Amino acid sequence: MSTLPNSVQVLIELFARFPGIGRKTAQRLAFYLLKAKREEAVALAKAIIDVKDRIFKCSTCNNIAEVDPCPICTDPRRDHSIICVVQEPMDVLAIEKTGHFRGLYHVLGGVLSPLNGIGPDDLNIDGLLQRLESIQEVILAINPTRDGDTTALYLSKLIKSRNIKVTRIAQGLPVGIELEFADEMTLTHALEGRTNL
Amino acid sequence: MSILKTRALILKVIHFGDSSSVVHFYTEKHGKVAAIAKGARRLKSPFRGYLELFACLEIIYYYKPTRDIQTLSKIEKLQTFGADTTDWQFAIYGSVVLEALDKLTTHQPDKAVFQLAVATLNYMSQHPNLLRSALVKFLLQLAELSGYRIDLWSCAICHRAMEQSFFDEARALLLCTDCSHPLPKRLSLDNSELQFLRHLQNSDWETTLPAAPHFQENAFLEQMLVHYLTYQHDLNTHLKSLDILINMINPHTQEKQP
Ligand SMILES: [Zn+2]
Ligand SMILES: [Zn+2]
Repeated sequence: MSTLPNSVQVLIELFARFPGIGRKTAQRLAFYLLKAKREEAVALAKAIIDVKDRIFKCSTCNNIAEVDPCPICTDPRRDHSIICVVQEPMDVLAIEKTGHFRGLYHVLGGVLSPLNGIGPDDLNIDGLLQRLESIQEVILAINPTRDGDTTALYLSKLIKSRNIKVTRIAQGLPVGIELEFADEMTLTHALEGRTNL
Repeated sequence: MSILKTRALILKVIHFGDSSSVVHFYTEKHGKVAAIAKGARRLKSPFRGYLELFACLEIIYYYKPTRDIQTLSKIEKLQTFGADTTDWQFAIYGSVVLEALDKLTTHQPDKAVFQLAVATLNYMSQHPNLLRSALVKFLLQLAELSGYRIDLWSCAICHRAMEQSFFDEARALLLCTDCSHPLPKRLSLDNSELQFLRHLQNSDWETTLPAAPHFQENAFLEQMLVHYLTYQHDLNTHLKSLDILINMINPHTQEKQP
């Protein structure tokens, strides 16, 4: 490693901090940029700066946007009586891609995680409670992890106390999986979340 | 290199590299073990769905004494704690158990400590209205198993019997009224709190544990016991999950007395 010029090493270190990127991949990315045309590298650098300068969090839903409030929050064609609560902005994108949800979103910015010192004050929960006035249903689209389960239970108690319907997206078998390979927790959830035919 | 098999509780899971996770366990036979679960975050990984907190597992791993991080080979779930709980408080109290198991124990393997943690999480799963009692009992017994049984009956200085007691933070001692009198910073335990602790110290998990006498501001008993353990182990640590517990569980959401 020490034979690499310092600037290349710095680049590799920075890439290696990205989620899901190990040292090997970081090295590949750095060498790709070394070989790439100057314009391509500059465009990448500019895009990174633009994202940091021009993207804000919507003050209503906490999703990322270039305007505040974001286009989803101000869209009159969407159903303003349903809010779908998600962990991260990426989850909004995932649900939007399905094209099957026409309500509003609320981005928590994480989940309760006592072992990591993350409590309700670290999440955008107050913001959600303030939005509930004309809301009829809150859908919790939170990941089915133990921390996600705890967060869903906590939120549902808060929201139900205001007489608003709370649902959670079904947790069950992924499409294409064979039953015998499903773990016990997934199967339990799948059974609980069964639907009428 | 040898292949080891043991029961284990997951203490924490940390993402590692592109698709793997490093899992920290408290194992029944070998104490604290960190092992890499290669490819655990891939969709088709056999580890998927198993690396969640609050489960008792059977793990098989490759062990090399020269390595800090071992390699996980197989995992099987024996029991999930609080799987069908409808109360978010289970995870908060359970997290304090796991964090104490991680931070307030030595690296020496201790089967009894493992079994204590399993018994505690089991009790919490089955008695959602006695989460506090189970946690306090866990901390009392953890102190005892570490060789630091707390004397709840007589003063640590003059050895006279105590009706009420004061906790001397600086020396982590329980003192009588007289001996604690000159202390600038003393935290008081009234008779009902003292009785509650004594009852927990002497009961086993088969019986119904007593409910906490009343809610103390800032989870005082839990804080005192964590402070005691930290002091005895000569550690400089604090439990993040206890901060969250104090923050989230206030007198208004206090557990119901049975
Ligand atoms: Zn918005
Ligand atoms: Zn005394």
